[in-house]
Amino acid sequence: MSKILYLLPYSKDGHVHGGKVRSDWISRKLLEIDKSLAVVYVDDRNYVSVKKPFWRTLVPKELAGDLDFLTRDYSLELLVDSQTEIVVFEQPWLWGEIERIKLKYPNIRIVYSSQNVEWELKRKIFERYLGNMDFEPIIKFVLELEIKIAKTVNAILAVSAEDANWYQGFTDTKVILAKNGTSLKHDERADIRANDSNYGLVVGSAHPPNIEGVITYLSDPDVWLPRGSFIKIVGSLSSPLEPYWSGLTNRWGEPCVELFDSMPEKELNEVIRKAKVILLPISYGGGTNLKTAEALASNSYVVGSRSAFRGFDEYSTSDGVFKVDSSMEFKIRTIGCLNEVKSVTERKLLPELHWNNSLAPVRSKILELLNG
Amino acid sequence: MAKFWMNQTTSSTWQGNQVGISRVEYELFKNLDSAGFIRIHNGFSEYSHETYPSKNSDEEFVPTKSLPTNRANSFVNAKRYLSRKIRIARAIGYLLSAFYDLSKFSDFLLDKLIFLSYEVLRKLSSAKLGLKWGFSRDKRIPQNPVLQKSALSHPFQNGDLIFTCGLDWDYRIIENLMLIKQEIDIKIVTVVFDLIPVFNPELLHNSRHSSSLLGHFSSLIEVSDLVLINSKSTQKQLANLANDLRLNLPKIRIIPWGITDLILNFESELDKPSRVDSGIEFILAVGTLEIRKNYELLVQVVKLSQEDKVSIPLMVFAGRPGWGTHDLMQRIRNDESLRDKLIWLENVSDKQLNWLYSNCKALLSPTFSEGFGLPVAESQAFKTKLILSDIPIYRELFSSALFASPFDPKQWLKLICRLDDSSVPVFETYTWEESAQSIALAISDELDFEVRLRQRVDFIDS
Repeated sequence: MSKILYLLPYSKDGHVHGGKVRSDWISRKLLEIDKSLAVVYVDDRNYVSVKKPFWRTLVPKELAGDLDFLTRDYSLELLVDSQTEIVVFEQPWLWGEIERIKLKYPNIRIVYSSQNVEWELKRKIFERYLGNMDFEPIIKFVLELEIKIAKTVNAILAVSAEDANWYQGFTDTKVILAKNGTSLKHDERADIRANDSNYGLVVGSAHPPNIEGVITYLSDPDVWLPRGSFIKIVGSLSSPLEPYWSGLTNRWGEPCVELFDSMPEKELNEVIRKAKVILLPISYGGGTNLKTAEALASNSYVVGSRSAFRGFDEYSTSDGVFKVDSSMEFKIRTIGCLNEVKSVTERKLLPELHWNNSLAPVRSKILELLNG
Repeated sequence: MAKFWMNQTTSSTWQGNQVGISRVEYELFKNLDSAGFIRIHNGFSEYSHETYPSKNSDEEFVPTKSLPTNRANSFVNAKRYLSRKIRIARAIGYLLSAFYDLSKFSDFLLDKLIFLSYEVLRKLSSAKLGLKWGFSRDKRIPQNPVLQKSALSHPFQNGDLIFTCGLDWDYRIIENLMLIKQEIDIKIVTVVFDLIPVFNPELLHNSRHSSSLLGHFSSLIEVSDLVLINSKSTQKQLANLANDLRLNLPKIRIIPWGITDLILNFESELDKPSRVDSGIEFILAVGTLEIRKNYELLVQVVKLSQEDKVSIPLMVFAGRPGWGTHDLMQRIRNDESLRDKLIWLENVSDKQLNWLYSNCKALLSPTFSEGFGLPVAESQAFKTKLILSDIPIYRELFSSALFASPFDPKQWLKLICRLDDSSVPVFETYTWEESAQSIALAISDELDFEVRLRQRVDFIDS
């Protein structure tokens, strides 16, 4: 049986997003420690709730569906036995399961893997989409949940120094900073001067800050993109943009946007490799943007909003990297990168950006817990 | 022999008095000797000077040469472009109108009605997603015209020079010229009036418009052999923009804009607006009532003078209603305490404007941003005192005026109260002929291309 149980509030389908990529790399780290690691994907798509939770009366499912996990009982304690020493859980939504496990196995050690300070992110999303509706009870609920988790668990993994500081306020145990990383290798870099590379790439899921970011920073590409260039959008972010951007042509009648709802990993790597400029139009949010690490490790130009550089600020003045504040500046820099004839001078290879290194503190902490 | 062409798309289709950019295009056309003029409509069409219309309607334009145009592949005027859905809706509408004998409705009204119905349907169908993500696509701005390389009809030959200085972004002039320049060797001279859309996009009425102008400037920098501008401030901004866009900066020359003959001969061309009493002391602000012009500050100045019990001259606004100032306009109309202190003249003729310039105690311009400030330059023909916004362009062009912060009404009130003690600033004014001379010289110097001034002919001023 496994010594480590890793719980994820995701369905195991082909749909990829930042959270899944991060948890995939965490599971690889855990596997280095425990070859029989059990990774549990909690798929709640067919779960029928008997009682409607209070947040459902306040906000639509699209904005708070993840909280529904808290109302359900998946009996995950059945997966735990005397061999299990550590349970790692991703995001706070499976806390109900953790409490039941803890009740049955009080000595088991719990590790909370955070991706954001969730109550802050929820507030930002609600403020944008719900205006003056009364969502404060939900924010209060999530805040109390996160505080409770921080006070209870044996270790916390945070993605940025800001997040780590916040959690540190509620626990004596040192919060582990495990930044997001990338798997892009140096030798995979392409020549961005190639003719088929004249595009700006956005990779992202249909997460509200991503959608709003594209609308804010890249709006109306048909009227400002230079001739012979285009924007490629990969990921579920394409879906909400599809009615507006599908078939869009530039001022010369050339297609100027390509939308891909999903893409095989190999192909995606090739698209990232070839992109002349990687665009990070994130309007707000907590945590760190996983795509920022990937962009920084690439040999492409990078244009990102201030929020996109959260946790990666030290790289924002690197060669070929532009951190911008306004929509107009974002567009100007994007055009500039697409017009650029010079390649990015080899950015200093950033070994700490590779998942192996960025998640190294996770390995140390888990080993410490196992041995302690 | 290489020809000099002037694009007159803007001024030749302009409705009403030639003002602003349209006036610049029109005045330069009167003063520069070109092979004729061109308009973009199913490609660039060539017209002789004599065909310049006395009124602005399409019917009066007769191209001197009929050019081969292929309807299916021809240029599409951006302003006339309609999306496929709208065209289908319109076609159905026309069929219905024929069937039900609705011909008594004008095409215009019918178009409007159908467009409105389509918009309502579209809004309803996209409302769910629009609400969900908090945005909706702005259809007020026309979609892009589809340009096809194979259909570039134009009268240009190798070596020709094309000068364009109108509302080129509305007609995709630069994009079209870019395609033509790939095919034949032409020189292109353009004008940048200001870069407000790029450096102060918040002062424009919608973000799509500022994005569109960014695209326009980006193409303009790329395609121009010479760019004419009217200040060092704009020159610096253009250089910065070209650098950020990673484009080579074209040759640039600073050209002063002229003042119309009507103003220069103002003594015989005065007409007092009926709402302003003779002999009354007044201060004047000229320009469209829009956010950028900052009329709000002048209303605050009037209110402040009332609060401080300080007497100031009557405030007169002369300008058409613009965007984003609905509340301000309502306030001016409805606030009884402003009634004897502030007058807003919405439609002022050139002769009335002359009267206002020549009789005002000072011209005020509290604008947040400006490309040139044509009313300020025009007022100098009348030796008018100036109180201007303390912005770089005004400091550069009108350095001996009085300056105040566009954010501080108290400073403005103070300067208004001291007007009697201030002297009239002295600035050099130019005629359009002199502007045209400067342009001809710039083109000769920079591009080694000879452009002559026209013998003056009688144009019918609109």
